[in-house]
Amino acid sequence: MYFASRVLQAVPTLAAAAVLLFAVTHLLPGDPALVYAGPDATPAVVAALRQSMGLSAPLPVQFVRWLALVLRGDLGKSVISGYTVTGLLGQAIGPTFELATAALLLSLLVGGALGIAGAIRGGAWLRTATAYSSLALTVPNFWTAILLILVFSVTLRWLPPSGMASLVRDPASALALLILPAVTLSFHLSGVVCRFTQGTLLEVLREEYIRTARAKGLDAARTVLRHAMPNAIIPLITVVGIEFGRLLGGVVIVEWIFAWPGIGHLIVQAIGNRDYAVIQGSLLLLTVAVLGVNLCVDMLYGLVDPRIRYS
Amino acid sequence: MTRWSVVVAAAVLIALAALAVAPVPPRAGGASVLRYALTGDIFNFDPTQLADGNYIMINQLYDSLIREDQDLHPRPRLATSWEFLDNGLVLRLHLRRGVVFDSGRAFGADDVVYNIHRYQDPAVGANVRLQALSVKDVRKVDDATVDLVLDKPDPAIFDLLDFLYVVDRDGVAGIKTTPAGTGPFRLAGRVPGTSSEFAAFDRYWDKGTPALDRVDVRVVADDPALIANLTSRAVDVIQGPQPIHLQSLKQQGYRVTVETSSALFFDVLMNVTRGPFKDKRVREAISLAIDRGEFVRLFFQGIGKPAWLPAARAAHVTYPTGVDAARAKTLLAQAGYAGGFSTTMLVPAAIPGAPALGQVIQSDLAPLGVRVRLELIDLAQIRARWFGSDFEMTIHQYGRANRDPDSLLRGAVVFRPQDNITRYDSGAYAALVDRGATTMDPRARGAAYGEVAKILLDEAFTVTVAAQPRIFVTAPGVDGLTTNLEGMPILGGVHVR
Repeated sequence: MYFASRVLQAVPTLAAAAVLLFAVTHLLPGDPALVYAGPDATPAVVAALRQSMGLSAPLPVQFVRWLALVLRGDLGKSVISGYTVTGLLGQAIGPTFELATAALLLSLLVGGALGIAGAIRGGAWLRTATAYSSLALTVPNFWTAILLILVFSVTLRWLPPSGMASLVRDPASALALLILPAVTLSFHLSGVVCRFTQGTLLEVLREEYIRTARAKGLDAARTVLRHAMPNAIIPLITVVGIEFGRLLGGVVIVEWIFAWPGIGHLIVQAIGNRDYAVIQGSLLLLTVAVLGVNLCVDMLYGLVDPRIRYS
Repeated sequence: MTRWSVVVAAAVLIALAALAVAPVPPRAGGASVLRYALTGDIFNFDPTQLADGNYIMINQLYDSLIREDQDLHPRPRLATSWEFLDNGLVLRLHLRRGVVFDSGRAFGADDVVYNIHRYQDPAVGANVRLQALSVKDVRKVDDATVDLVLDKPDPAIFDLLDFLYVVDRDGVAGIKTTPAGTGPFRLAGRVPGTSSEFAAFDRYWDKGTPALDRVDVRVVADDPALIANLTSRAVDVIQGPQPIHLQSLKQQGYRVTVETSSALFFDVLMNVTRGPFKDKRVREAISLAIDRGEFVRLFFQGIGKPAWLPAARAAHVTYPTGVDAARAKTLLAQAGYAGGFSTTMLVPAAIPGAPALGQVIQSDLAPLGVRVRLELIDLAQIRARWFGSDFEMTIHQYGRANRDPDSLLRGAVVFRPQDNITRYDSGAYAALVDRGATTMDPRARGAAYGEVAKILLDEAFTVTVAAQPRIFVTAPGVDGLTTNLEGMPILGGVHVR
């Protein structure tokens, strides 16, 4: 019941997002016919291309046509490259998922470890964790990316600066190519995770039931893992859920810099070409992804804290 | 050391070890592979689309009917010989035999007929459609002979044939995603927006070509990424790096190829129907105040060429010798703008060098009291403004300047007498352009184009600033990279040692 109500709440959000992103896409100045026609096109050519691309119909008619296609599971075709949008997204979703997953895991690992160490050990560990999270929260993605490329690709020549390889066919190259974009993308989120883990854990560690557990002879590690972490993790789930949307935003820049063939890369190109169907399809997919993650977060709340489920 | 310290230290060590041992992807074993990087992706595989991103694929996957050399002499490709008949109103093409498309189907006269009609169709959006319209009719004589019937004698007809890349008519339905040509390579793999892979076509008509087994084309984000890919040895060739890197790359042993045939020029457009720019004295004053040499020194590091007109210097035309601020000031005063004026200049942000040129012009015009606000916008937006003549001043680039003057003057939107985006409209200019286009006698043509040059300098609606060379940088061991007149790379003769 709880799950069903959350899913139903997502439907109007998705509908509103569809209207909004169609409107915003078509409000961009310029259109794909102008891009396709080339710099020396005559008005006759531009008009003929607009006609063949279906851009001469009124906007509401174009929206209804697009929506009808979407409801049938067809996101249309790129008027520039000729590929189907579902085909392009099918090709791009894997790399984006791979990168986003790697970045998420890396940020949880690094940020979580530093946050826990800072909260438990205090002193130099606490100062290190605080400094790390401050740095990670203030440095923009593109700057981190450039710095990493300069150090690890250009100077040390340890890692390739851009591209992607298949994890199945060439795992060594795939890993080498994944490291820089994943580290770049995870950096900000790891700072957030570090700060929240540290803050909530410090708070929980001051609770009386923790003192009781320690007084009864439970060792520090068990006290933290069994009693402190489950309570500290609830606000962290919320933050990670919210930050996932930001992570997907970051994917756009990071994928472009590292020539990572994901959805972000696709969106940047499509915007430059005013390739409406591709922009709309990609943004719709990202909207669904963010809604899906928020839904998962809600589900996790229910699992972690039964009071939420029963209320 | 406590347990937590050990865990964190181990994690850091593992991460560092992973970084240290992860290898740069190696080349495929044994095969001769060229790894090529550029900043724009292939637009689609239709060769009628002469977008910059398509340049890398066109001469690899397709063949044109002829290829013009630097002196505009036609050289055989799919057409092996030609002759003019009927007082220059018919051009007979003799086609190469034994040519097959990558589908295996034989190329013949029907394909030429089909392709010329396709280039003329407005719904295809061919970038050289205007030139193709000079062919009134195409007739198949036999399987290997075609007659092109012209409206009137056309000295620029070989420019069209140089651009006319032949597609397999059976493959046109999917041409955007699946190339269908007769070129030395065929498409072997593609990740849109990221990479493309061309493999040698073993049934190519020119035996021994290509020398490579494969070309891997990689799209990178920007100029710094191009340089990083080359210097980290992730690729063998980069296309279009900014000139500022060239000195350092040369010192590191890379070969820099600068294509100076100058198809492409930077220009400044002034809308002759807007404000002060209605007066040709204002336009001329602005042209005289622009320090073209400074722009070339600043942005091209001296490898480009300042220019006043695209064509070779015409006889009997007096050219300005450089910046003439005094005369510019006088002209402005005569036009009633002694105190200057304010204006906005559109700048295409995506064209490297355009923002720099905007700043140079802003600074050059300030002493005249002309206050220029720069408006940087993206390509789709600026095209909408250009085609709607919705600007006062704008920075622009025109191509095909190294072709027959007719291809430029009747093709480029900034020179052609009809639909000119500066709104310049003159019967005398149109008549001269038309005379040059239909006169076969070289001296008479030269005289007509000399008059056109005078009008261009005097009216200054399109102010040419500098030629833009195309730049390629290759790693040691890569030889044989050439380009056509347009600056498109030709990789059929490339060897990788």
